[in-house]
Amino acid sequence: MKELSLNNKLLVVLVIELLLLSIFVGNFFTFSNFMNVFRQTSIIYMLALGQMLVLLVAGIDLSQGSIVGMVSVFSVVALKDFGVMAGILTGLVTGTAIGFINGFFVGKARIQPFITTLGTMYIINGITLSLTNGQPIFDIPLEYSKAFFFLGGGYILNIPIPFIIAILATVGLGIVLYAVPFGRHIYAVGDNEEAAKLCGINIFKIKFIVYGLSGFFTAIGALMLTSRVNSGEPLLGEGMLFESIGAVVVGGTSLMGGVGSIRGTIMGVLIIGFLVNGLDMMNLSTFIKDIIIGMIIIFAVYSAIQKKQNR
Amino acid sequence: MIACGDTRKQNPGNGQIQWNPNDSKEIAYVLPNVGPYYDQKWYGVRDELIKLGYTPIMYQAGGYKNTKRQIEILDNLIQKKVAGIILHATSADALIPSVENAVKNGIPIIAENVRLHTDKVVADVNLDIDRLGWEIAMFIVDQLEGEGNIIALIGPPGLEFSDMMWTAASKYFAQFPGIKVLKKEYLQAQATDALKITESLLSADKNVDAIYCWYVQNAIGAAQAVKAAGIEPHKIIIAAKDINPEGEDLLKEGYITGLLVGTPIEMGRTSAQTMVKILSGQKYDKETLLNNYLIRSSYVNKINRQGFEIPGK
Repeated sequence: MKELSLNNKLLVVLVIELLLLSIFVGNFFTFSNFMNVFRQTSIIYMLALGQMLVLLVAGIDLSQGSIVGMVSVFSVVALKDFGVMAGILTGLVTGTAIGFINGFFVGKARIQPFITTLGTMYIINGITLSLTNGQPIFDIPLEYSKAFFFLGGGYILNIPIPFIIAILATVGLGIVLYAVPFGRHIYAVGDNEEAAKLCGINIFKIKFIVYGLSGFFTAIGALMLTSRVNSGEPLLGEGMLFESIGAVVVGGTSLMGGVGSIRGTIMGVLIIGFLVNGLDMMNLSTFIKDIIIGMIIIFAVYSAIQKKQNR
Repeated sequence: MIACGDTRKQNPGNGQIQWNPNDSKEIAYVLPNVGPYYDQKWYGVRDELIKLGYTPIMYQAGGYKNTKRQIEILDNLIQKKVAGIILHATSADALIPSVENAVKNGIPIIAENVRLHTDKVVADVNLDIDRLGWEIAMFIVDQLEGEGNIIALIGPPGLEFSDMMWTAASKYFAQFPGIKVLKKEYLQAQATDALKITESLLSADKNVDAIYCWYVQNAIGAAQAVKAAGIEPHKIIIAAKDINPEGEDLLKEGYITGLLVGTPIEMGRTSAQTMVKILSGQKYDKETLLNNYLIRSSYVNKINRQGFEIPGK
């Protein structure tokens, strides 16, 4: 019998998870709870898309959590004085710019991605905390606050706005990855950078844009979350980096580059997202949740390695 | 105890909402972290709710930094349709939309320990925060007889509670020209953070006479740093709020000089009682302020320990 593809295996895991949670957890299998999970996971999904892209080129982006904090603060500062659109644009530009800075150091200066993004993580965190003294930025004028809140907390026909944004981002990135040469070049660079270079692919350009996209998607996630908390929080991104890496790895993206998919990332995000939701509704402690997620990540990587060895 | 609330008049904005429409018996206690202080509060909440016929369930976010996690917890508790939520928030502002959403869904929220900037919270059970900072400062100044150099371990960045304490303390210190605040640092509520920072500060400046700490865990770290530096007990005044077994040992040794002991078990019990009153339609106190009590090593065994000591521990 033909072995199931990784994405189909993940789908089976997700379906089994949903079945078990529906049986054992009261109020789990409701439209409202599913929309709740989709809204929550849409935020981490944005970061996961960005992380997937950089992992595809055999890189990593450790600065995502810090970018969230800086975007949160800068966007709210702009929003308070100049309105919602100014706030959103400021946030997007901030995240993308940091991404491009990462991309420059990784692609042009050829500094290890781990080192580059570790450095930018500390720098961005330090800048954000210095500028705010660790304090949140609140007191958004009411006329802006309601409109801004719609981004992260609003609904259209009972569908959460973050989920709608996530769908649009999926379609957009899908076109980039699968329908145009740029996407094939991303996979080529991650699979074998030397060979890609010999084929005439501009490695710096690919990496520069990919890291910029990572910053851009991270900024979208940051704006959604900032809108939900209705304030600029310098430490808003704490813990989100490892959630995004975890989801992407569970979704089958290789840390070595060249392997990964949007569909796998969606599965990874949903498997972890529904698990957290179900465990909360079962009243299992945060630490148990961490143990289970850690085990899933190790198992996912182990499965991927086994599959590669069996080829 | 400041004002009474009447459940029948509680109207979170939609006149049709009633509390606990699903008639749940579960009340969630949402904490920012784990540790001795939170264990004490949880003991109080759990013991009281069980006596009153409710099922207590506890969640913690893993640290004051983890606001997103607390938001997730609140969202999931709304889906779980719990009867009520007692919330010790990681942030006074960031949780507001989630709190308001819970209230809209018929789940009353009591803000404990951290006052939220919304009128949708049904009741507050809190400490007199300004007074805490003021009293720690008063103790330090008294010990120094009005003159000396202080370093301040303020608390987590962005936490209004510790900021308010420090604002009050620094106002007190400012009244004494001979008191100099050499350095102030933000840090998480961990002993290890305080240990590292205090070691660095003591290396940088040998003329430290006192260390202001917002919380006993930081005082433990500071005291460990002082001990490791070979400085004798009682040489550097260290004062903080709250107590735990390790803090008490260091107090008895003389490395911590004074602790403003709270009654976290009492706080937990008060929150639980208030929540049950809200759910059963009785009159309740909209705001309750609890006090802390100063102890020094010479009379640490003379205080009533019911408010902070878990029986059997």
